[in-house]
Amino acid sequence: MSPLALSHGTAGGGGTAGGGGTAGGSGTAGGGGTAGRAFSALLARDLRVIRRSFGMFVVQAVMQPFSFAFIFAYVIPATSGAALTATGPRYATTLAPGLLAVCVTIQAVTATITPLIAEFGPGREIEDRLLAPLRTTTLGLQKITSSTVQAMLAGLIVLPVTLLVHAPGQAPELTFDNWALFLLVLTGAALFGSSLGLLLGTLIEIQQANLLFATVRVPLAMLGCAYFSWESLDGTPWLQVLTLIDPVTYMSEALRAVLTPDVAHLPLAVSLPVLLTGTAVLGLCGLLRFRRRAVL
Amino acid sequence: MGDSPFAIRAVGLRKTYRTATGEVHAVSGVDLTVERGRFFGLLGPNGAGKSTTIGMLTTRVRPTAGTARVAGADVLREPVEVKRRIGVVSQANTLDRGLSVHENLEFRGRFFGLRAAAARARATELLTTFDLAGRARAHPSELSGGQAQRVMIARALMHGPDVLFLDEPTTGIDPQSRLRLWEVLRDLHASGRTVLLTTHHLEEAEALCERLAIVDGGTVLATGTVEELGRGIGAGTEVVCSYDGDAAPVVATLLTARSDLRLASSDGRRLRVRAASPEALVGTLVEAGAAHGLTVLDLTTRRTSLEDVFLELTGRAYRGQ
Repeated sequence: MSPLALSHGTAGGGGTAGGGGTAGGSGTAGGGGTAGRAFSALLARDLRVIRRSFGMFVVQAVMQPFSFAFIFAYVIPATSGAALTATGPRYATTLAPGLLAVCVTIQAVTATITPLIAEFGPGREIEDRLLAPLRTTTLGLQKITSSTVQAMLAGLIVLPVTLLVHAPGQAPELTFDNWALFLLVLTGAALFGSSLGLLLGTLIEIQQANLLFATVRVPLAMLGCAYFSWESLDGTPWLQVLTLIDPVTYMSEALRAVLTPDVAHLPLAVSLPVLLTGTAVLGLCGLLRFRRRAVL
Repeated sequence: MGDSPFAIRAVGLRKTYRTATGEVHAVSGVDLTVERGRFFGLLGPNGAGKSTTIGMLTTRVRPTAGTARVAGADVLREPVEVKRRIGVVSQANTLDRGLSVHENLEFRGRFFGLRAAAARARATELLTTFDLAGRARAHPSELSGGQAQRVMIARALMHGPDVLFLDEPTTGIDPQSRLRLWEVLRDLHASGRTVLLTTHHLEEAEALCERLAIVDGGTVLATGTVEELGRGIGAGTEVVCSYDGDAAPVVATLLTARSDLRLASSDGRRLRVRAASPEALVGTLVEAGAAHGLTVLDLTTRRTSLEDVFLELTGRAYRGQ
């Protein structure tokens, strides 16, 4: 058959059979609905793009946590002697879950926003994805899923960095006796960041992107109880309250609960529900906003 | 597509955008019927509402009012089904900049359920057909305007759609590439596909489209073949006639002689008249001149152009831009 001919591939021939008009597939080969196959093909597309620039991906993920671990877990303990580490848990132990939380959040937000800015930009590349046979909200869900996968991947890459970069004898003491819970919290953190990214990415215009990175990203990381534990702010209650606005606080503290139970932390019964509720609310708003922005 | 003879049927499509300064009526009531297998054109100047109309028919723009069925599915209630059956080449370059040319096609096929290997094979096949095999590994930014358009068309065909939508496909590309694209589009139509094309180029519409809808100000002003559109404004033929003296007195005689005749312009010795039918028109002009002692020096007859139709319908000259 000529490549220009009708009904090549999967969709043309299914025209009549699909008259019922549901999203379910007719005429497609194999199992899985039309939308499901489109969803996984879109994920495959994103992974192809990451695979192509994997080096960049790693550098991007690792750079900030590495720098922080290097300065705070290696340089400062090495130069200030025992002063910093005399009492309580080692600083590296407090720092490691926080670095992980920041890395996952930033990666999730960035992985959602950056493509959205390009796709909603002048050429409206989004129209390419919009023509895939799935509903607009499902496409938004795919974007959240894709960034979540990327953020977790970044988290797993950064994990050894937080473990290995430290002053001699100052290794962080993390426990990995509950991998399932660790992955659950990591997923929660990644989902939260991705949902936040979808909402922000559909709210802002290209010109505002730099402003957003400056105004949201930095305080998000700094106030997120990543570089200090929430408990350690006991002496400054106003700051302690302020940090509760930052979602990264709950991620850092939830990861502490799992990885460093000996460092005082917010109970999981608080941090995890906040994360999941926040994800649900932001995700819903993000999806609604995405639908409005994508279909004119 | 069921038993419907129509590939596209839109009734009362409207799109109103709310902006800071008030409401903008991009499309204010479009009715459109395109039979299956037609090469149909939406012709109108920029800002006429063509792209918004095509956006609504392809599920990318939500209508404010009205309904439309495309390839047998309802654009509002069954958008996924519509997407499965249509191919869209939008006006802007929407090639995926994260992927190579070949991958752009591969993934479009996979979005529609083709397995990876099958999608790659079909991508290669289509790129070869479109004379783009040498650009398979190129990045979209490395393509010329004409090449990018061909890639977008090839990509739109990956899943074998029944109806192909092209929004201003030849805008901004050089004349040679345009002619080449025309060939491609004619081939696509010859393969049995319904093609809906928007253009602001009169010659493109005349060269390609079997039927046309003339769009301006967000509505369809007239629909038909070029001939039908000409007849619609009561002018299938236009004649420019030069006499050997002042032609002004001849006009009254001409208008009495033929009811379908209309004066388009007069300029001293020269008259430009239009008539629904070319039949006996030359004779009338010669006789009317003779009645006033004038001889015809020169006479050119031509079919009424789309430009005339547009001028007649809107009362202003056609400016594509």
